[in-house]
Amino acid sequence: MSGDKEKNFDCIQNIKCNQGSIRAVRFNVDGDYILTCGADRTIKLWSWARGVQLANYQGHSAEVSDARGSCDNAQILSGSVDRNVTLWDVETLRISRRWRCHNSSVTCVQFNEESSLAISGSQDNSVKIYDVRSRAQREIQTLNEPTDTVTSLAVSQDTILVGSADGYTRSYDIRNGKLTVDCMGEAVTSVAISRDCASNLVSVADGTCKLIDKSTGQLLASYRGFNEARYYDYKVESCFDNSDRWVIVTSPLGKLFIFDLISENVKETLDLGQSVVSVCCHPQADRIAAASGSSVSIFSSAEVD
Amino acid sequence: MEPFDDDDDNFVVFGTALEPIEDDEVARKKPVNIQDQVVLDENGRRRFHGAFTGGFSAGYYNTVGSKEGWAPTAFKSTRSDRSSAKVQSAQDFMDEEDLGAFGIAPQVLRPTEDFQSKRREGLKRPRPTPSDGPIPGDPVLFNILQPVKETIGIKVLRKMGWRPGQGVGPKVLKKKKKKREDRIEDEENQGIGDSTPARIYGCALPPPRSESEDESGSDDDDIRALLVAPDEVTCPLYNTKDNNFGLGYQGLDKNSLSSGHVDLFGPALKFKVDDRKMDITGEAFGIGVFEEADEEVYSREDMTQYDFALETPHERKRRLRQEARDKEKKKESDASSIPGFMKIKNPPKPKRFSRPRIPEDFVPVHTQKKSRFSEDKAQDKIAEIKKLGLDRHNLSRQERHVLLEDDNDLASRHLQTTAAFNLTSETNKTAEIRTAGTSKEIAPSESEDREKDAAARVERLKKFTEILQNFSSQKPKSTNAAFQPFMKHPGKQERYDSYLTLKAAGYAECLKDLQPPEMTEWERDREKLEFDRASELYKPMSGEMSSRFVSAKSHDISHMVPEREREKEKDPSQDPKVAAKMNLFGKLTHQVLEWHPDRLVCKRFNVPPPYPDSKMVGVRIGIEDRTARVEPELQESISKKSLFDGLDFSKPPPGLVPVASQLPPIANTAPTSASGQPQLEFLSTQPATSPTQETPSNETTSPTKPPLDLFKEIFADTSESENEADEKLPESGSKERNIDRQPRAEGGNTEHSKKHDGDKEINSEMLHKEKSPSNATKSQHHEERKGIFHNLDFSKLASSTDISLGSKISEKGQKQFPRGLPSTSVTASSKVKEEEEDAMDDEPTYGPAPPSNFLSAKKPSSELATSQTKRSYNYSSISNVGKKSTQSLPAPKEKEEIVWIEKNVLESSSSKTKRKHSKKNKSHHHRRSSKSKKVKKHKSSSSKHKSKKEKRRSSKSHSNSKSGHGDKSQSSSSSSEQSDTDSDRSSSNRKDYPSVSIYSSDNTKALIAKLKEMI
Repeated sequence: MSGDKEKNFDCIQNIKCNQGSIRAVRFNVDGDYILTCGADRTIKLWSWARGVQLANYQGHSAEVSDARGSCDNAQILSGSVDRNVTLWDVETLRISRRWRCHNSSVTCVQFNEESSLAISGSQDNSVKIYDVRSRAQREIQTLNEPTDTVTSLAVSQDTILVGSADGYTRSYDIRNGKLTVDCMGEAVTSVAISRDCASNLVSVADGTCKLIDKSTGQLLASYRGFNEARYYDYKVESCFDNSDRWVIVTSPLGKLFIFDLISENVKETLDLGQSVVSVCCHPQADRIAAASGSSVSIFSSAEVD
Repeated sequence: MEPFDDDDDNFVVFGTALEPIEDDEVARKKPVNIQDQVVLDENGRRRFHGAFTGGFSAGYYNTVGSKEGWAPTAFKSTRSDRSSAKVQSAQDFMDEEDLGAFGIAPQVLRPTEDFQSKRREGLKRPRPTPSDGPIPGDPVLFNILQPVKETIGIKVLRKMGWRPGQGVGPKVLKKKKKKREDRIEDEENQGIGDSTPARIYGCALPPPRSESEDESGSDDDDIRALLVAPDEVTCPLYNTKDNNFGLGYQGLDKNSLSSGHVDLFGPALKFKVDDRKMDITGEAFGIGVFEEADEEVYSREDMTQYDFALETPHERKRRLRQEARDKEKKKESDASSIPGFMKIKNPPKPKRFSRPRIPEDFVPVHTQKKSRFSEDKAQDKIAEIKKLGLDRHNLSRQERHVLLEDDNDLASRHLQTTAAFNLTSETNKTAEIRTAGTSKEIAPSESEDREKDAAARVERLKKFTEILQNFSSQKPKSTNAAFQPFMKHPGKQERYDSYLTLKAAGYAECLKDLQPPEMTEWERDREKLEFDRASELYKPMSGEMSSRFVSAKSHDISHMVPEREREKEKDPSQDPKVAAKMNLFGKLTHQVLEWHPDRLVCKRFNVPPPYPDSKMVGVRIGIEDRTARVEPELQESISKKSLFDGLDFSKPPPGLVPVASQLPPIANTAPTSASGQPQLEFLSTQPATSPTQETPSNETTSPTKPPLDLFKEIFADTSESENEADEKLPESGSKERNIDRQPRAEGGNTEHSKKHDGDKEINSEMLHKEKSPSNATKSQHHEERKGIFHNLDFSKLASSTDISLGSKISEKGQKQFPRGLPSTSVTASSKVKEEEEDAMDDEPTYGPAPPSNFLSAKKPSSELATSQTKRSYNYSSISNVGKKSTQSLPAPKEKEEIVWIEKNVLESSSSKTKRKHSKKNKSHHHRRSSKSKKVKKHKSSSSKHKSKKEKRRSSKSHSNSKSGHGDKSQSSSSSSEQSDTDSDRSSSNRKDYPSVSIYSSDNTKALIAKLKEMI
């Protein structure tokens, strides 16, 4: 993928998931499969290339808000409105762990790099860290600095980035034992860490997506996809593409914006019809999975396909 | 009763048989005297003892079977048999006779209290209580089971001819009584009239029977004229309605629910209104007053229940009735709303009790009087104690804070200054008054020299007040308002306060001028002595404490913080949210706090715990790291020195293309250079620039050569620590992005021009490596370092590589040179290259025999120190080495919280170095002074560096010993604070705390002059 060549994203797959509204779509660690979290309390595992459902994980008692696959593809971590954080065994479809520690709906979940820790953010203004390897019922640490709903989590090698509706991002540097708090002004709806871990991508509820320098908190770039102020409060999910060249931002207006990271210009706009709820980038290839309504669309740059 | 032998079966014997008199026994003549008779119990023991043989004798004799009396029950575990565990009762400790009929706890069947006729006995007459039962009046059973005993009242009544069932009162004519009876009967037949006060719900009591009833038929006038007892009239009883429920409604009762059957639909209240029965049914549900009960349709199977016409007779009747009622209702609607009810005329008022009136002179607090003669002595005493200033324990929090306050606390300082100002103004005033007074008192004719004296004194006083003012504005005195030993004499206290100020300013002798002229010499001396003693006694705690502790907060510039915070509060633009909304991201929106991850989290993240000794988890409250939040002045100065921006290897370079691309190429490359050695050529041509430093350092050869990266790491550190001396080191790659820093890179380079003369060899390979940093490789690089670094034993390293230290120090020394050193020959880029090379090429200098020019350039510090023993600046530099390991670990900063660290620890850690003695003396000073110095520095350091330095020299002349540190602190970089606090914290870990002395200010001045010439 040479950077200079102009590439356009085409929809190569559209999966009707049949599980109500899709709350989140996630690639697995190598990008061969996607996980979809549905409002019908199920998590589905798909082979996106074939468009085939591989498994259906049932066990949550309310809609599933987020899910992640572990680095060894053996486990799935999911968080739900029923306040449970659940660890699934991929093959047996069984629940291997269930943490009932949150006092409110779980909004986002993450594994750490080795998938030895499960991290969950919730509407109870806290982030909880669980040990996957032990059978402990409780979390091992709670990050309760956020003063409003934890909307999003991002984990890098040694950092946990927490985006909260209180308008702050909090970056917990485990290596240095530092908590870096950055004020974003408005509620933060989504956070992502760049691949070099030097900057954070933060979706703010003022219609923009901001690239913030991690160490100084300075604004490096700001991406604006839509201007309609009444849509500002909607959740906007953003992520880097696999090479950190583009920033992909969802919008409640049914469009998926692909920004050039440097120039802040819209490189491409993908129209999905319905409001785009969740987006995820393929870890290796130029592929984007976006969830809108009850279906998931996979986009791929023309060159690759 | 006792069964006897078989042959006596037919007899029943009562009583106890007498003992058979034996034949040979002669009957006793005399009966036993009454005083000799003794009551025995069935065991043959004496029953009564003591006075008049009526008392009990507890213990062995009677109740308890042992001589010792009550034997404590032995503990018996009920663990195995819980069921048999029993609760002890009083009866357990009683003998049988106690439980017997005559004992204290008789176990005999006897009527309960209710039936002991006590109730009737106690009261004059039973107050009729309204019964909730179906039958009104007294409970029926209660009346049936009358107590046997009659009250005296009834007995008397009986004697007077009263019989039960009769009324009490004068006899009435039978005729009248008959009439009355008839009337009652009529009323009952009619139903209950609206106006009838005596309305009875439920079935009425049977009319009292009278003897005359039988004869009522005979109509005999004689008989009718008989006087008979009046009827017994029971007073009607009404329950006052005290709830807001509907009439007759009773809420579901818990008890009735639990007791089983709940009659929800049965009528609760029945009454008659004009020949129609009204009933209010139901406890919880039912039919109210306004509704009419439905006809019972289904209970009876009957043809009449079925309709044979459109309007059955029944319906018709009903309709008619309804109509009639409606009419009536309309009539009545004004008067009374509900049929069968009337408006109450005198509504019973709930009883209200007014509050007791509290006497005017009542004091709610109870004060105990010692005796009735000492009126308010205790209070007097308290007041006295307060006056004397001895009530230390009653101080408020605020006052205590003032006592304990640290000198460096800005807030309290502010307070003090104002206090001092007040004081000075007061002294001014008093001085004026005094002079006025004296001029008045002294007669003009007295003598001229007296006047002169006064005038002179006024002069002097003016001078003092000036002094005081200056002094107080400069350095606030550390007395406190809370401790006022001479409260009793305000004048004296005032004098004492000003004396303290004067003493602090060094004008202790001037007290005499403050003292009133009427005081004798002896008195003045005495007062001064008193003041001296008092000042020692009432020394504020901070003095006491500071001799034992070092305040951790004195190391940082956190005293700036409150000011900033206050600003923030005032200025809405300082609010992070506002700033963020204005897109002013950066220092305002950025905040770094100390956070302690859980140990297991660190383990799972494959990261060593950042605070290995810490047991806490979570954010340390009140500790804010300001490293990221750079003071504005600092930031300016930082931006001037882009040379060091990138020295932090551990920081990931900007991974993002856009920013990097915005920068000139140097910006990215420059930062990678280690410990500024940019201008080798230049330096070599200027070997004499620093003549004072031309002494070789005492190099201890390192036994093993650590890998190159390691040195780089160290150098990166040292460069950081150097940077502290200059300015805060930007810890992040982002700062490299600051384009405006680029020009300053050159300036910064010049500064370091002479540092590493010896490092001439250029390792082109290394250079190449360093110069082509792609984002990926860079970050990779950084990560590797991190890893290496974590395995590093810094203490070992530091001790083994003194040379690095020396070089560092020399660099620091260089830093005292003005910035604008010539850099004409070398371009920025080449400089950078050289830097990089040098960074990579530090290695050769670590060999056992460093090149001569290196040595000359390096000016080993130790010799320097020896040569300049007198004015040696102390440096604590190596403490920075360790810090680097954790990628520019920002030191936590104590904002408000004071952390005391035992000074001894600090000293012991620092004592390792050679210049132990000097360090020991001054380390403390450093700590404390650096802060105040820093403030100044920050303010001045904004633009001109060169002049600033000189200025600093002069301003700091009174504290030479601190200037070295001041230099360092002036930078106020994150690292400086880090190092300080770090070293404080983990001083036990890193034993090396070397202090190196460098040149005096004179020498630097000379140097500066020389350099200027060269330029």
